[in-house]
Amino acid sequence: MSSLLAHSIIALLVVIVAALLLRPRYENASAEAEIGEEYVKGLWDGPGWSLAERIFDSSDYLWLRDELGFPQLAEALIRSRQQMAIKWLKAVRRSFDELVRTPEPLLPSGTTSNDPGSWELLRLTLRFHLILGYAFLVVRFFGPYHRLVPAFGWMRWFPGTHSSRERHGAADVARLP
Amino acid sequence: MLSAVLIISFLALELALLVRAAQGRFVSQFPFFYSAAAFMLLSGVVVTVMYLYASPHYPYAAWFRLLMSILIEFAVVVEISDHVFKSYPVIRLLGRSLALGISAVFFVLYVLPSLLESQRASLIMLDFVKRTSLTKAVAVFSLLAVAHYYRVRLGRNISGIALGFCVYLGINIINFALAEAYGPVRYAQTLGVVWPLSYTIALLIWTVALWRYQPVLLTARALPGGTRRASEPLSDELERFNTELTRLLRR
Repeated sequence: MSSLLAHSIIALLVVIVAALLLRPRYENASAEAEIGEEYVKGLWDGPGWSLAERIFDSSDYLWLRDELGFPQLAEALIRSRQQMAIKWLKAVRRSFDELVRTPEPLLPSGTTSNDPGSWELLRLTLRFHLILGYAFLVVRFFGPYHRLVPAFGWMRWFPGTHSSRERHGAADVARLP
Repeated sequence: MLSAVLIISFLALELALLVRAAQGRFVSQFPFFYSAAAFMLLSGVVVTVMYLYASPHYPYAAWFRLLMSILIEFAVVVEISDHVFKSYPVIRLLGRSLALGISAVFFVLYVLPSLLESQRASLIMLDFVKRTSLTKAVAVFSLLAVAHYYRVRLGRNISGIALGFCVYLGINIINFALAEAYGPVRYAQTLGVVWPLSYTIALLIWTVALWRYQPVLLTARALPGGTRRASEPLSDELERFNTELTRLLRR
């Protein structure tokens, strides 16, 4: 009888939530774009990028705590930086989701897109969400100065490996704007 | 009397659904869905004729139709999964991957163990229908949830197919759970009415939603903050997001 009750509740929930999810949404496109712009303006460029580097850089915290000797102030800074880091990660996620929602461009007949296979696009999307989800967890529970990605510096002693500062994945980071 | 009304409604709605699609020339837009609908119509006619002529093969034919319909209903899941993210190249394959992944996991962990239990064949059958219906419902629900997250516009046609299918599956899950709880003999008459009734309700929703072909029209829009450059392929931008984020977090 408990199985009957459980299945009945699940079935009702599926129907109700599906109906709610399928409701037509009347989005305010201009307001949404404005919010989006506010969030992602220059995310990867000059000021935006240096802000991100500053948020995740522990030197201010260490300077306050060790050199000036204000541990309480340093703790306040770390809490504030944690909130900023979470906001920044949310902005990155929002920006990425906007990219994912890019509709299919209309190509002239006979031409094809240069993008690799759709599987590769899906792989990159899932990989990004995995990294971002992990970053959210680490920042929320350990703060922004915890080493988010394990260091593999010792790998450079092996022949044929390069410094992680120079290359990441398939792209040459040094050449990125 | 009720059964006769249900059979007539089922045949009329199924026929209207297919004729309307053929008239509007949009059968090819939803090939899996209309193939499943055609199978249900043809097998329904055959089984009804066998019932009217009191054929001794009728029970076998009815069970065979039920089993086939359980499998063919996965075609509706595939149809929904193919259309949800169709206009978005980055996540175009997400729908089918999600649907197939959930179906495979549920089959191994939820459906298969019940098939291996030593029970009466009729009980195994009822449990099988209930569990596969739940699997399909979870798959469709997950697709709708992801589409909601990405604020994907589904359009009237696919929304209708999904809603009708969810209603049908929801009633099916409760109906077959009740049949299992009360036993196939005591519940047989109710089961025989509620199952076609649930399909007829779904057909009604599908007929209304698919009366006209209404594709989702998306307008190309510039991404905020100039994130997207016209010359940069999507894969490069995705790679850039991955690389930059990893670089920042590896500091």
